[in-house]
Amino acid sequence: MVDRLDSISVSPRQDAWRRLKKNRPAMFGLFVLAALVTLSILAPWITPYSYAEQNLELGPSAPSSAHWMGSDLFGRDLLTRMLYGSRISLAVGFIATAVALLIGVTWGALAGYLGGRIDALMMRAVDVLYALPFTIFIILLMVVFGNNIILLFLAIGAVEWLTMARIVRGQVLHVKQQDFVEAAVSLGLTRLQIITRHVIPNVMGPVIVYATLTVPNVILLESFLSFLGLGIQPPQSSWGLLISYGVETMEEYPWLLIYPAALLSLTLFSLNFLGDGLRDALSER
Amino acid sequence: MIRTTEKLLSVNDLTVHFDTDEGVVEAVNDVSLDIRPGEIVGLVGESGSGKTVTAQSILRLVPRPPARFVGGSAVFNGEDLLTLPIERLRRIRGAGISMIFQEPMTALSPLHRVGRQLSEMLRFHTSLDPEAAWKFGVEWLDKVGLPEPEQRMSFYPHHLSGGMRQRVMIAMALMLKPRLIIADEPSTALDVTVQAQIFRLLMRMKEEDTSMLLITHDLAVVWEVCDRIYVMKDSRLVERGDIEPIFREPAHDYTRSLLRAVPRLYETGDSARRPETGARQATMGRNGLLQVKNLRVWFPVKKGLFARTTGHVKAVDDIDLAIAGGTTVGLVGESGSGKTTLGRAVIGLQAINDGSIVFEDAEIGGLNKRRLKPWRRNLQMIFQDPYSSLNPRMTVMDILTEGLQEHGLLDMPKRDKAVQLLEEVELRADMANRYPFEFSGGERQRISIARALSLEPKFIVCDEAVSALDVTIQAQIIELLRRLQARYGIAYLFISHDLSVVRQLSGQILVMHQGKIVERGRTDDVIFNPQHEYTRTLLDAVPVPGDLERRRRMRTAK
Repeated sequence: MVDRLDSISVSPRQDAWRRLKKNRPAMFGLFVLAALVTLSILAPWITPYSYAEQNLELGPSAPSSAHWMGSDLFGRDLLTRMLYGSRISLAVGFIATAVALLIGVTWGALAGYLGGRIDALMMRAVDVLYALPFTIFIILLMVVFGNNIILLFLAIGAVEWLTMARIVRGQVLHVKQQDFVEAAVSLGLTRLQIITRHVIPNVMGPVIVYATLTVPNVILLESFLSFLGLGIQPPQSSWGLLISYGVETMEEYPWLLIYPAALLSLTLFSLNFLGDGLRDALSER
Repeated sequence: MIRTTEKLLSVNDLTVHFDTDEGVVEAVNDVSLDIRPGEIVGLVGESGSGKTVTAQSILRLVPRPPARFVGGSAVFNGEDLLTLPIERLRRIRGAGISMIFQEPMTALSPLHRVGRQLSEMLRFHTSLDPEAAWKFGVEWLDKVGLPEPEQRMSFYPHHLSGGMRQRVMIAMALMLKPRLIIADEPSTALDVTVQAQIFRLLMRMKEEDTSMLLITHDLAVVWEVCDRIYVMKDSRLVERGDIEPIFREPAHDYTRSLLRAVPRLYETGDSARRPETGARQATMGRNGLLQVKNLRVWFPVKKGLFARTTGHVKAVDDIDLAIAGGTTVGLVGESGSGKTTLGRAVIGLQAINDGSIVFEDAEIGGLNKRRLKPWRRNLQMIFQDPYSSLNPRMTVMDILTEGLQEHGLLDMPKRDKAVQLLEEVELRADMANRYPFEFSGGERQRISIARALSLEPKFIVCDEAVSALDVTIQAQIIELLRRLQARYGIAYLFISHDLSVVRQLSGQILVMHQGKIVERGRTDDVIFNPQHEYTRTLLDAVPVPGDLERRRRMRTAK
């Protein structure tokens, strides 16, 4: 009897998932993203071509049965380069966002919960970092440490956490006033326990939503940096890199721009749809 | 009393359903009610009974969807409000029928000054020019008893206290001389003294033949102001009639149980429900469990660029109190009197500026968190708002056992302990794996009590612990607190603004006003023989159901 009743009950997370499932655009977004991730992981088994090997005899060719999306100036299969590019772009998007999430949530939660002078100090530090022009910051990093993909993750994450910290702090200020936090104090819990168990789980809703909207930002940022020649270097590929080459030759070989740009747009749409859906699903009832 | 057969509003067989994910919820079923000119009609029921949906449906203020009007009509001046074109209805809203909401903060726009909100409302419904509208607004703020009305016009809502905001709402509702006012729990968020003033004000409208539909869960208020009453339960009307006969002899079981649950301030019979007298209780503990001397909590008021301290809010100012083991001390006062701060301070949740707090012969005042920790398990708190006192992301089981784990006191499987605690507060064992949002306010309050009990404390501060609950639930929770006290010898500091509730549980009463205790003594002495002027004001404002004299006085007050 007891177990049967238990099984009916749903956690807030399950409830949010149930609501998300009803949201068609969000589920579409989730599906597209899942498909993209799978395809990029399986890239070596999907295409017979290599992303780096050049075929100068072939040169730029229009889409055909051998090369579904054509080939680039060096005769490399575009589909292959897009799939391998997805690996980099998606990895940058997710890892950099995770870095931003980790730093931002920790920083914001500490500042918000501790309050007072510590809060003022921590948030002023954020303000100062905000004031630094981030492009120059990243360019400097790249110049000093050289082109390094790990560094790219960290650099972008280090920029994106600022907004995350502000959002988290604002939420924490609200959660902190709830009686259950006071109750936790009177049960004798330490500050750290209260922050990790009572405060952070209750601010994750808006944070997750913001994170899904950060991923496209980061992907765009990587595209932008690669476009400037600061990010990924050939023969590796990323969406940004492909697009930047596509732009150069778009009059003669439009497919080199159209396909990567369409893929980037599709991903951004998907992430935004998912973000919107999560916002609705996670909002309190 | 004016009694005409003419009806101002006549709701017939109103049925409203809500389409939700879980299926159709029948919120209102076949509800019919009439209001005649100059009549004050009470619509009473517990939360979830459908009374608010009924009221909102009359002005079509329920969101559709999810709501759906399934049937019925609401005829006002010969027109059915449920089917009237929206432009026509908009003219009736405000000018013909106006509404007063429970929470005046959310009903006023926080972005606009009071004056602008008043004059815009006037200009929408009348042909007054801006200047005349402004003047008219000032006049009405004066009429509702807001001091310095001219200055208040340029205030934003957050500058005003709850009572003042409610007066602004009332001025807005009254100034267009509506024929009918629908007031949804207009005084629930307010102190008793403010509540009394608000109702005196609303009673004056009756003289001008304005009618009122008063939606409330508070039968004591209904007794004092209403002509007739409708009782709702589970979306249906269960009883209707004139006030005095119904209070004397309710026909329906539900009405009877509602009436029984209403706390009575002066009731002397039924001694079984009364706590032991303070004097006897106090002698039982030798030194007392908790002794507070010269306690002071001052909040600095900071101004200017460098946050200079320019003064202090003396929330708790030089207070002494003593509580013996197993007894209850009631702490009464209006909002802003400092009673919550005092309650938090004595259990170490609020830093103190000065004074001593002795718990079981040990000084705990001013201890830091670490040194206070061994005492924590003895000092617990139950909160007012059952919706914010439980972490929505934790299961009930985790909520109940968290404190025990922290103190290393969990001596059995988590689940068993949780079940044991749930049974202690008369909840079912299968609730352990659920999350707080699945529970009603009363159930949440029980969980909150179980959490406080988990550490087997000797002292619990109950901060307005029953104020947010319906009367019947209120009575059950009070009963539960009493039983737990008898079984485990827990002492309570019972904080409330409601004297009639405090009286049911407390042997002694402290009356707090502006940070100081102005009166203290045995409960009955304070209630039947108040010494301080402020105590008398408080007592005077408490409605007493069944007291004919008071009803007459209230209803003829000018």
